[in-house]
Amino acid sequence: MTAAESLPIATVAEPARPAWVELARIEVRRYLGRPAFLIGLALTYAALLPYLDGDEPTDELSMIAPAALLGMVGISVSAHRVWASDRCAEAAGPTPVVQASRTIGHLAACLVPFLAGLGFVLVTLLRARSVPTVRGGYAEVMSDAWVAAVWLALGAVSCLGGPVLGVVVARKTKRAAAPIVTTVGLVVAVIVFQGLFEPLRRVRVVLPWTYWGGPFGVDGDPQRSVVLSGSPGWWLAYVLVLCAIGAVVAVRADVEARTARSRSALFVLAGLAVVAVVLAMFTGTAETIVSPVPGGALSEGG
Amino acid sequence: MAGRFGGTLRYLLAATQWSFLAGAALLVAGGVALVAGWPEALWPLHGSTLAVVVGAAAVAVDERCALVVDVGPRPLWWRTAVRSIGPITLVLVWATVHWVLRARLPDHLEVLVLQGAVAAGLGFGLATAARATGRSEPGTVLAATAVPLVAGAALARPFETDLPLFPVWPHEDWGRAVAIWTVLGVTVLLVAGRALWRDARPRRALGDAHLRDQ
Repeated sequence: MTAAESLPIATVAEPARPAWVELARIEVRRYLGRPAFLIGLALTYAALLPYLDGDEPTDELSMIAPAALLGMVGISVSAHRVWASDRCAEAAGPTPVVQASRTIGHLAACLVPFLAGLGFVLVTLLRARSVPTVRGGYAEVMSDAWVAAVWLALGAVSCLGGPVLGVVVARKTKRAAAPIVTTVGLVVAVIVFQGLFEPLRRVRVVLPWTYWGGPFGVDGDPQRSVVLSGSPGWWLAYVLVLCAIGAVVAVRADVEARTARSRSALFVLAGLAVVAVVLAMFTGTAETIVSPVPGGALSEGG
Repeated sequence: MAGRFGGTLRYLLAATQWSFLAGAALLVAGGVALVAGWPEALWPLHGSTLAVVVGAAAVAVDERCALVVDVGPRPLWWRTAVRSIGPITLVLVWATVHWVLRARLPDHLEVLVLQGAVAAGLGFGLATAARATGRSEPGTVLAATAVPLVAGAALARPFETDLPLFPVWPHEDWGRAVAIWTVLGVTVLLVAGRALWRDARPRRALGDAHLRDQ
């Protein structure tokens, strides 16, 4: 018997699950504990409190609450989570977990705000079945499917897109001000493309978080509700594809993940995004629809 | 006297992140100018600009060389006082831009200026309170949380009827907004003042002991 034969061979057990699954669990827990997320969550769901009054109409403009307080806040939350885990990885030295796996873990954690936003949308949709929205608003003028597409895109997908954007920002730069500048820049862009400026109404759908209707007013009635042109169904598909593009871009920040397959996926997704946004622009409602009901109280679009 | 002034100036020049402050001032001036250009459409941007004031004022507290500076002879209250020049400059920019563009903004200049002053106080005061607990760069962390939350709250405007933090339209309760921002300002002053007072106590005790040793 040789020496080599006598030595016990140390074997490393194959992990039962891929590394990113465990990382995703950790990141989900950490996202749930972030103060900014918790404050945003509390403020978002507090927007439902007026519904305790059974006579209060369901607010068709309330989707701005999850979009801003979960989605927009998610940019910073995600970016700082990524940087924090990178610091831990650097401190730990060489580990078998590659950056791409960590990124997937962070992307999985983006489902936390998404589910919170989805809950908000579902509650609003259910409430709207029993207590209608304000008379003459866009939700009364349009079909249930149209309204559901707008609310899902604004109230739920925005809560996914913001955090995914945060992961992308963190993977592209280490500058602490980057998420803040991104947030402010996004606010400016979204406000300009919200549909208040008539020449931009058709192309406004290239941006996420744009508006589809609200009391934008007409000549002689500054508070009259209008419905903006386009197809919210295709726009919902478009913003979901944007989230997927963000996820692939974030993963590809790791040099080892820049495979031909991921590049092909990126090209396919970019093609899908172009098709979806063109369809969102030119199908559905052809022109701006003006509500037959005169305008009421002042409020924002949604 | 000249030496003391020179030391203060040297610390101010070294401790303030001038490029960051200039960038924030530019964002503030640009943001308010945009709002004044198209007030009805771009008003939600005003809250985001206010969020930048909170964040920039918080970052002004960050002390990269805390390990060295904290054991130096200059107490935290002195360093905080010198560092406050940055946020004060930002508030001056905020107030000046509002005053220059007041014709195109809501007719409540005092509320808008108060918002900027208290926003800077909130960022600077809360970061100072955290700094007094020994954290070297709490401002960046605070800014990362506060900026999106303030911007988000200004967009969504939850409880706007009862708590008009970001009033826009003439029919809103601007008087209550003044009361809310004043309470916020006084609260953060007390929080920051208490933190600096508590930080100064052991130093006084140490100083007494030192004197007794002599």
